[in-house]
Amino acid sequence: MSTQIMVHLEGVIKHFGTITALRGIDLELKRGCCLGIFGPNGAGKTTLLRILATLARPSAGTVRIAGYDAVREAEKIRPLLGVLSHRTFLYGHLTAYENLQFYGRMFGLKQLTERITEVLQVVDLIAYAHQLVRTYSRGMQQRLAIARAILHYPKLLLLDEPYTGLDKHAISRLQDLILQLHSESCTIIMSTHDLHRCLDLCDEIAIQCRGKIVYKGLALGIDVQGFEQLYSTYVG
Amino acid sequence: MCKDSNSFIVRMSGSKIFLQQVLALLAKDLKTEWRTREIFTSMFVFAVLVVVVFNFAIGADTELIRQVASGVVWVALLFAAVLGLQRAAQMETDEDSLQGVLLALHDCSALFIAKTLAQMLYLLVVVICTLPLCGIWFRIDFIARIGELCLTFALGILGLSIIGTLFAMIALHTRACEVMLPLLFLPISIPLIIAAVYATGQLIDGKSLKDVSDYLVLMGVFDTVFGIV
Repeated sequence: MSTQIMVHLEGVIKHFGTITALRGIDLELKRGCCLGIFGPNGAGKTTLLRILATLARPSAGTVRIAGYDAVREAEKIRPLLGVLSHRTFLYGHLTAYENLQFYGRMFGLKQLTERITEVLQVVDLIAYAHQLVRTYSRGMQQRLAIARAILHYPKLLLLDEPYTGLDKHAISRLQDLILQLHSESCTIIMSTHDLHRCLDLCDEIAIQCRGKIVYKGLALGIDVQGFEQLYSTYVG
Repeated sequence: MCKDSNSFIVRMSGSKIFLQQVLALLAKDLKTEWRTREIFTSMFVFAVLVVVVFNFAIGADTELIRQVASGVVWVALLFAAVLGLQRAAQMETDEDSLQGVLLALHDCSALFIAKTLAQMLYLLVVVICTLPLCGIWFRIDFIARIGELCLTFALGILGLSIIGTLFAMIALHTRACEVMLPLLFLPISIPLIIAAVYATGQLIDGKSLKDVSDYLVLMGVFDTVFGIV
């Protein structure tokens, strides 16, 4: 496998009891690429991202990230990942600063104070750094979760519905952040329903439906109308 | 933002990052507990209630109270430990924080050690607060044998924390965590509790450490075996 390939999935299947969430996913993504995954609710987008994040094991198939096997070498992959999930992974009884300090120490970052200040500025939470997270609004928690996800300079950023709960200003800041990370060769995979923003950001787009990637192609040259036609063709 | 990212990332040796992760996890747990006092309060109140209920159930028979006191204390600690473990587990599942921790861990045993140390500290504080009350209610002078009792309680608390944390971690991955934890934890802790009850009882009765050495060895072996596991 080429060293340029960041993500390689082959025949990935995931069962939850009698339910099959993924039905043979094949996917390849180069380093530095930004992939947007679209699909209806229940298509298996979150399951796919959880498998990429090594938080769930595939029932069958191969998952390789940065050349490492996601099942057997998960501990080598995890420091490379920045994960933004539906849940924030934050501790409500700690302040924003303390949460980031905790994760920074876990990742062994040095010059932690400077780095925490930097990411809090990026997500516009510096004024609330010493406020308990449980007092934050949903949108503020989401912004802090983004700061947590990028704190340790991940090489692969997995964003599951990143715009959830964000106001216009925060969405614009997140767009800028994703563009900046993208320009710095960070590979990004995000699942979203926000077609306009995703088409602006992504190099490639994929449509996932009933546990399968039914379409994958370059985002370049596709406008919203064209994509909607594609979407209705594949999803119905 | 990532221009000089390497200058922010420490290239630590395995043992150094392991130690740093243990300390970070322990500091996080203790800081949260200091703010909320949820775990300590629930453990302490429960332990005191168990002692009070047994005190009323046994009545005024001084000799009988003396015979069962060590058992009551250890049963109170055992159930208080279950409560503490459940609260600690809940803290990690509230916002799926455990998954964030798992993504950052180099070695899962760092999490196990930090959680065991935190649980030991909670139990230690509960013992320090509960034992004087037991002394008053049961009319037993624990202070007179405090040195010998310290060793017994240290071994008991260590064992309860090790197996409690181990099974709390296992139970966390099941759907009915609150039910699974006591089902797994209580039967396995029986040998430890039996040894602790007999050792404590005989020490209260005035016997020496040498007399209860078999029980202490059993507790030590139990702690070592489960520590290695």
